[in-house]
Parts: sequence; C-alpha cells; structure tokens
Amino acid sequence: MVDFSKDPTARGFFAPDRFEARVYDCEVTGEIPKDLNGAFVRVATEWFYPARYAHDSIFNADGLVGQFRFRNGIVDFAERWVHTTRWRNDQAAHRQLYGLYRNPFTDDPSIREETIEKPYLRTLANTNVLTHGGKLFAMKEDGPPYELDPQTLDTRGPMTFGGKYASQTFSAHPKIDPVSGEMICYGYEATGLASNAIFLYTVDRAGQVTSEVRLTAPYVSMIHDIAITQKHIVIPVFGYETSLARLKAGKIHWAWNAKLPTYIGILPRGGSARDLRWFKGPLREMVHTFNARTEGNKVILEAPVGESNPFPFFPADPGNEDPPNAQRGWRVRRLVFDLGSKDDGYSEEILYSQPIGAFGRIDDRYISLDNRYVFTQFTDPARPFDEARAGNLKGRVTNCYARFDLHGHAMSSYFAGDTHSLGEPVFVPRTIHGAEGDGYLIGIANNLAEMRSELIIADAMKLEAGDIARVILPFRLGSQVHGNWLAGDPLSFPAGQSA
Amino acid sequence: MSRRAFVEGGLAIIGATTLVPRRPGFAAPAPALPPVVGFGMDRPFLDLTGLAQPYIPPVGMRSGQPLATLSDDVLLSGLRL
Repeated sequence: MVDFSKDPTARGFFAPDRFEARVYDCEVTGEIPKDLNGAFVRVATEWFYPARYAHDSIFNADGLVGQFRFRNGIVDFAERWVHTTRWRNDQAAHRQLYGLYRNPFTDDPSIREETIEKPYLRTLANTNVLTHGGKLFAMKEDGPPYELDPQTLDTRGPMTFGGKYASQTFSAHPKIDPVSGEMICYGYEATGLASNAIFLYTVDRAGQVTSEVRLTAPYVSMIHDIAITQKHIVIPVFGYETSLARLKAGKIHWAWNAKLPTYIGILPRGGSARDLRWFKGPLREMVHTFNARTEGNKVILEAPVGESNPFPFFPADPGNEDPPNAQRGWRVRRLVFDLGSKDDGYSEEILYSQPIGAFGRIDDRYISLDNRYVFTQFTDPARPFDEARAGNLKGRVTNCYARFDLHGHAMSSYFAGDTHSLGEPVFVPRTIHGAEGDGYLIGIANNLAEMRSELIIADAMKLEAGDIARVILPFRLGSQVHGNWLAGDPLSFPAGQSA
Repeated sequence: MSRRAFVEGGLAIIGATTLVPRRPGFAAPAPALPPVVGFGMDRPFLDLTGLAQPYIPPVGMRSGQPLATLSDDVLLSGLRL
C-alpha cells in the first residue's frame, strides 16, 4: 500500500504525481517562435514510494525525465520514470527499500548487504539529462548514467563505455567541449563509499573513452560540478564531508562543515595525476560553475559562489555550523588562478552583489571559451506575491531569471508572476551560428495557485519584456534539477505524434 | 465522530510520526523544537531543528490546506460548485 500521509512535505503543489504523461499538441499562451525546433529535456526528482526517513533529501527521490518537443510552433510533452535497478526493485517490492540519501547502511535488510558492497546500484539518475556520442542519458553522481531511448524515453540501461569507464560513479555535470566535441566526465568517490578517489575521463565525440586520469581529493566532499577551458580542467572541493563511520552511524551522506577550506584543483587537459595542482582558499559553496577559460598563465573561473550551507537536509554536525552572520545565497564571482605563482592562493572577486540562486548556465557554445553572458535565477522579494493563492512564500520563492554581462556591468531580469516559482533556466541559441546570447531563455515555472507547471520561453536579450510564450501543462511537474536543449533533430526524433 | 474531529485526529498522528525517526537504530538529530515544514530551494522540507520559517499552503483544498482548518460552510460551498 502506498501511503504518503505521513510525509508532511507531500502536500498541495508538492504532493507526488507518480504518473507518466503524454500530452500531444500542448496548450500554449503567446506564440512559440517558429525557429525553436528541437527538444527541451529535463529530469525531476519525485518519490514513487514514500521515503523511509521523513527528513531525507529530495535528491534521494526517483528520476522522472520529461521532454518538450518543438516543431514549427507546436509542442508535445512526454514524461517517463528512469527505470534504474533501484526503481525496479522498489516496484517489485511495492515499497521503498532504500534508506537515506547515499547511505546504504539505512537500506532495507533485504538489500543492504548488496548495496553496501555496490552503492552505485542505489543511483536514481535524477539530476541531469544530456546527449553525447549519439546517446541520451540521465545521471546522478552516485552511480553510472542510464541511457534512454530518445524517442520513447524508455530506459535502455546503465552505460558502461565498453568497459573503459572504471569509476563506480559518474557526475551529473560532464562538460562537452564545443570545439572538439569531446566530453570531459568524472566520478568522485570513484572506488566506493567515502573514498577520496576521483577518476576523470575524456570521451570522444563518438562516445569512446580516450583517456583516464586517477586523482586523489584533499578530502572526501561533494564534487557536483567542474569547469573546463581549452587547456585545463577545474575541480572545486568545498564544504561538505562524509566518512564510513558517519554512514555506519545511519546519518545522511553529507554534513556541512563551516571549518573546512576550499580546494580548487587545476589539471592540464591531457595531463597526468602529477600535473594536478590544488589551490586553497576559505570556505565557499560552489555546487555549480558558470564557465572557465585559460588566458596565458591564468585560469579564470566564474561561478555562483556562496559562503554557507544551502541545503537544509545536509546540516552541519554540532560545532561545525555556519556563523550567524554568514552570507546567505550565492553571488556571481570570478576566481583567478595564477599558474605561475609559487603559493597555493588565488584571487576572488564578487562581480555582482545581487544574491542569486545555485544554478549557473551560459550559452553552451561557449563552454571552455571566453563568454560574455551568464544566466541564473534569483528571488526578488520586492516583486508581488499572492500569498492568498500561493501560500506564505513571499520572498522565499525563486521568481526571476537574470542575465549578467561579464564584459560590461549590466544585469537584466525576467519576472515569472505573482504565484510562480522558477526552476533552472536554459539558454537556446536562435541559430547555430548566431551571436552569443541571441536566442531564448527557457525553463519551468510552477504555478502554485493554478496547480500546474508552465514552460517559460523568453527572449534572452529582452528579459524585461516578459515571456514570448508559455507551454501550459494541465498538471504539476516534479522538482526539476537540471535540463538541456537538444537542437534540431540530433537524435532522429520521428516526425508526427509525440512519444 | 465529526468530520473535523476525524481529520484533526489524523493530522495529530501525522505530526507525531514526524517527531521520531521511522526506523529504530538510526537516530536523526535530536530535536530541540518540534519539527516544522520549512521551504528551501523552492520546495518544502522537514526541518528537524524546528527553527525554519514554516511553510503554510494557501487556503483551499486544491492547494493543500489541511481539511481541519476549513469550516464546514467553506467545504460544503466548494462541493456545491
């Protein structure tokens, strides 16, 4: 029996949907641009069965992949669960077998022995979805990626890269070099629970592993995202910690520790482990990056950077909490690493004082290159919020998208509405050879009053003008983590009715 | 038992079950205050410290207001629609 009544967070807009969906020829307000052809794929976290622990992280919920397919101003939508090993085992048992986020010691006794030995079997593929090498795959950083059928979203199974990918884990943020077509991907805790091993791979545009580098982290921490330049790979290590003792004690995988330093690893592309150089700085929170580039002897990283724990479900152990005056939220920051220096320090600059959200996106054609614009979202408490219709969330929901100009100093913003909560924005170029930033900013807005989700489409260069169109779904979508735009017909989407 | 009493009783049980970990042997952080449903990263979460600003959904069944807080008049008027 499925019973969510004991989960006090599964209420109202945030009650689980649990179904798979197909919507042919979606309802639209405004007009979909005719040059918007391709697919927006995204993955949400949603509990199919209730969590075993009430205080667990939403990052421990099942992966639900959604796809909006655009053709000539028409949009179709489809959504399917990712059928991971874990999902299938839960389905067979008709209940949640798996315990806390990335802690197999809290799993049901019927599976615990196996999941402790093979923690990667617990992955949910719920964090990001991407294409490379002609394959569509969903990812979560604690296990292998799962390949999906791009037409039906059926799960094909875990990816092995021909046996040449040895890490037990695969980050949800591989970077695709727009110049070479290579994918730089990695796994941390690569050799097992709480291991400090990082395995880093280069995969060519055909999907073949061409190199592996095995690194050691300065401490075991969340390495959720990296950045690449044309010459280097940038690896942030910050703030969170774990250990086997912690996991055996039945605690959630991560604990924030405000006493930990930040390490940034810089590795030359094509280099070996001995070429890795760690730079060290004060505590920061850098769960995502915008982009990086190499200029002469310097590596320049831009990222949403915070100074405190953003995840309430990964609290600090007693004594390791943030100080009361710790800065909350993220800021657009630039970090500069001088490879010619003798010490391990780096410089840091806050480019905009505006607090922003955790997500950081750019025009992906500029990954590893000098880019001008970054896109993110933020909460503008000065904007109206209809608390009677949408709850007591004024000043607490993400209600705006932002574009920041890194070459000049200008911020532009888009406001979603007085009952809306925004997910990560994604930039879609108008044409493949168009100027940087010429295109659309798209993303999911949850309409908390109408109990439905809407896909926002705005002109990325005219954010203040509001959206051009909205794709209206007649139901609520689960909480999105990440999404991406697949331009044109890269995976031979069939013409005609949606999957 | 009235509808209101039944629903209020159910909610009290829900509240009580959130005060303790669901599985013995893996104690969650000991709460100093009653747990509260807070709101962060654009969704609700269970805050075991009890310090988070509570999330209160809007009035109306569609948006999740607990039935116990709705009067019979409001509820019945909605049903008549």
